[in-house]
Amino acid sequence: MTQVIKVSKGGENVLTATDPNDFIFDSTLNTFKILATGTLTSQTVDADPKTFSVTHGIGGLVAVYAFAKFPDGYVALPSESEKANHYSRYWFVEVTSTTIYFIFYKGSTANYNIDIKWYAFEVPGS
Amino acid sequence: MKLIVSKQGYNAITETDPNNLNFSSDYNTLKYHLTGSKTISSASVAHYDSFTNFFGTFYKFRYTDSITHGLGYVPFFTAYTESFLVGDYYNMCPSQVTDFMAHRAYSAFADDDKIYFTAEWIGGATPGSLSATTFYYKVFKNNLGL
Repeated sequence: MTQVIKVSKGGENVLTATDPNDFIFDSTLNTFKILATGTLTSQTVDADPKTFSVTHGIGGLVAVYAFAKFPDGYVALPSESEKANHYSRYWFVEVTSTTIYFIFYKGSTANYNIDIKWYAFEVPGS
Repeated sequence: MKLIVSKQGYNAITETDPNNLNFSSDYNTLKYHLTGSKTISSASVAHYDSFTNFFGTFYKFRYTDSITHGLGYVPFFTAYTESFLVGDYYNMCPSQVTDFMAHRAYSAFADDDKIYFTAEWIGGATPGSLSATTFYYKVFKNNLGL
């Protein structure tokens, strides 16, 4: 008999529920594991584009999610521009099997500092 | 002490590849805080601008609205909108759609109190139904530390 660990949400019967959305945890289902994470603080964007990079050290292609805090104080998702209507300031993320690249643009605006938070998730089957 | 659950066929005691584990206390996960949707309405704050070039005058609207996550720090978040062109298909933010009439862009931002949703429209006439955009969001308790 296979032994499992399950934790249902409040109001759901852990013994009879079958919808994974009704569980906090189910050991039969893979979890989206964060394999590595890091922060780059006060990086200066003084070129167009300006690229920052980190070695993720996972040893293969990973799924990356990242966030960038622009000078206006708001945190933006990849491919977004600064919220305060500075369309010349935007950024992208690129990933290889060894490295994560954060590519920022400034256009004709002044140099600016950026804080970056990144997460590397597992990619099952990669 | 650890808690490790391996995938079927793998030894939880000896396995080192996280891709062969369903769960390991060695690896952090995303922990849900909020999930829901927010429809940007015409009563939202809008920024109006326009410009004229060889092709004519173009109008720019930017509708913004927000939800309060109230965590006191900037959390891990994600947002989606339903495709403007193809119903029942969803795009992660940011996303952009351009046709012969207009350019539409959808974005999401965060600070230590709110998640902000913006719908932007650039075209040769007023945006019509853009203000009815619905954003679907998920906010996690994981602190970005930004």
